[in-house]
Amino acid sequence: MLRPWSDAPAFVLSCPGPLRRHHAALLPISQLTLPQCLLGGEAQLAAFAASAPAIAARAYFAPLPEIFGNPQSVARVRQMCGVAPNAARLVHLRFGGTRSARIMKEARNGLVLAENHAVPAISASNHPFADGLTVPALMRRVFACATLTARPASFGGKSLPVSELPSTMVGADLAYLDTIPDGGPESAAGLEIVSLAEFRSHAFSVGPVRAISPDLRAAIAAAARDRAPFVLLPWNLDHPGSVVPALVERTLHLQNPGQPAVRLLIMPFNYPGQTGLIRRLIRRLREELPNGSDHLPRVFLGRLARLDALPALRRLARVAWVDGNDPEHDWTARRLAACGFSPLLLAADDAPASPGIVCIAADEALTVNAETRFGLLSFRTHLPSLRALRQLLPLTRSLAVPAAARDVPPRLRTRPSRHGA
Amino acid sequence: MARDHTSRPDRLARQALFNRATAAFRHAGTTIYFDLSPLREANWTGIPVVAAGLARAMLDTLPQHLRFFNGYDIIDPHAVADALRRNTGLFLDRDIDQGYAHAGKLPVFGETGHTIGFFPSVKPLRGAFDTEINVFHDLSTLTLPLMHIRGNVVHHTEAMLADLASNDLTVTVSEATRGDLLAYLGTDPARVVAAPNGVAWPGWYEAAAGNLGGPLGAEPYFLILGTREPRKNITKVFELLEQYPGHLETHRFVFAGKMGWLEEQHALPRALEPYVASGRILFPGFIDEPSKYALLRHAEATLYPSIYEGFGLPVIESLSVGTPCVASWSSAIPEVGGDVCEYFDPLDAADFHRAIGALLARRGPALGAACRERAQAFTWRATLGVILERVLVLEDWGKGQ
Repeated sequence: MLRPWSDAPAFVLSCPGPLRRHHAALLPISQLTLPQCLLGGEAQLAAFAASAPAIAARAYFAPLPEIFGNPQSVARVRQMCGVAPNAARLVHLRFGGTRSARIMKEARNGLVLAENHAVPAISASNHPFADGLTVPALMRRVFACATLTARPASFGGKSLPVSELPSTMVGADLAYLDTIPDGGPESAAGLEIVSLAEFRSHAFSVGPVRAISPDLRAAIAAAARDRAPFVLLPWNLDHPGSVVPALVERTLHLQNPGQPAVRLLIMPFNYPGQTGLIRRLIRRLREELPNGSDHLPRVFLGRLARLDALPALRRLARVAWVDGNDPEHDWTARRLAACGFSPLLLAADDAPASPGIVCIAADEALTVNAETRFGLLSFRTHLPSLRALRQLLPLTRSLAVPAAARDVPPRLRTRPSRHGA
Repeated sequence: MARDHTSRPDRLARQALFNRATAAFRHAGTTIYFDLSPLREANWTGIPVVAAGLARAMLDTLPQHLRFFNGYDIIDPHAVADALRRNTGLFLDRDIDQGYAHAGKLPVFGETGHTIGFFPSVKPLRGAFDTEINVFHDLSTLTLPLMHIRGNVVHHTEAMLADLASNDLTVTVSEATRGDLLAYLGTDPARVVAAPNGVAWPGWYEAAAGNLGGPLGAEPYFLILGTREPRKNITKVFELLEQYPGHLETHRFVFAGKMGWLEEQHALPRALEPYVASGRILFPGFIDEPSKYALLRHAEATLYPSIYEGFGLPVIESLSVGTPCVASWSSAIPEVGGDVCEYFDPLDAADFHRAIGALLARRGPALGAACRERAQAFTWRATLGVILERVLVLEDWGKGQ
């Protein structure tokens, strides 16, 4: 998989994430626990390690590769990896987005990328990495685990060689689930869900959230009566142009809190360790929706901390709405499909999609302006119009029931992939 | 006057360099314009300390070629000298705001000689001088933005590329920061020089500290010095104390430094609150320089768990008074601490505990002497020497000038 660097005596893998969860600056990959493993850079890292056992056997995880900046720390890394001083240089593989790319000095650096910035942000910012297509100068290669129509360049404009990773990687870490029984309640221990009304910033930051959500219990009981399905809504917290907050607000505008058409289960990923965006979403819903606080106990935030809990999540939700504006949407949709969900990609007409992924027209233009640490960024995005949402709801409900009973409305346009089915 | 404690051959070589630079400046009619904006802060820590150290060294070495400016205005050198004596920009800031310290306009138009602009931090203006030199302290706003408030990130990163592009010479405070510039921004290595920071104390601090005795009496204590912000990783000390409370039986823990930003401001675990009540853990807040010196001087050791440093001034300050330091091995810190510090993994409380034990096993007069000896290489005159040496090359002013 990494033929150009097959001589590496050890691999150091890293991805953005909350720092406090890790208790060493370098640890064997086998000892790594992640806040969530369903989506984003963390899932890509886990899937990569599972798909390349030969590499995983000599792989380590570094929460902060950028701190290894001096001969003493580099020597320590080599020592911890059991690498002789005269051996070839280590390889550092960075997962997560281009804007979060980091370098481990003294190593050969590669970026494992699932982002495709087909519609780059408009920015007047002078931040060196604001455009999402520029990576640090010492980044040497890109390993793509999604379709890349827009390729990043290293700082200064030098294009990087891109190697495509096998498409089977998307579910490589899921294989072991076939060997374990689809357990009962205990298997749900790695599934952390709270309602927006129950959300507490500190508890979510430190995690895991162990208490069973009373709001979730109530929602499950109500769903058994009203048949309004839970819908997964992946939310890339590292993408400032995400339309997920707007989509949540719009969906809630269309339904009475007491009689929902769907129950949204937001799955944040690429979680940086700070909860500002989540708190901002809650404030937005409270302020923008009539009786906004009434909705909060009926909208959920979830994360899958352990894959063992995937069957429990599948029992709860079968359908996912995927934001087609998200640069990771291709990988996210394929990953969800590999996990047994039915992803519906909400994308503009010209957005690339993988074979077999059902696309729903996001037919309303929306400019998202975001004040970010990269300066002010503007994203031209697309959101399903009210009409498209009205059509999306019955499709969602139909996909949420067993396959034999599904009834896809004929007027709803599902677009075959440009790459062929 | 900033004292130079480096070895005699080094001092002689440096004096020869300063003589050469003075001659070259005189020949070319050179004036250095020093951007004093960092000195306007009331409480000097970090960047203002570096700016002050370099200003003092330049005043000692090249007084006739040095002028200070703020924005578009020349500032009365007496006002600057007063701030440097007081170690605060409180009055300088007031005098600039009220116009008392103004001494004319920056001579962008009409200057006949050669001008060098020297910027100790982010450049408030660019392209005003024939040659521009700018100090980069660290790239943490670029690499660790979540540890800063957004305004600070935007302030530094927005200016970064424009500053680099307009610099004739970029000075970094360590090889680690120089490496970051090369690794992330592909900066031309020939135009970046690492000039490590210095450390200097007025002579009377030592006498005053000696007269006072230990500020906490005879009880041994560890000093943790630094602004309370996430990058300084103070929570790792809390974690250490929660896991190994025995440290609180043998030592008090003094956390000195101004309040910073983000969650570090309120991160004391509940389990440690009784130790605050009993005085085993102290938070004196920001402390002035003489108090800092006294606290450093009498501490058993300093603890510096920082996650990322462009240099690590508290480490060299600690060593300079003969107090050993237990520090993280991250980023530039080992460049400063050399072999005399005990290092640990900044994310690993158990390794932190081990390093403290290792240092306590080594404590004694010999270690104190080794600390002082290590620190002697770090003087502001040495810092200035590295910069001037590169300026002479940059301007193609050979030895004959």
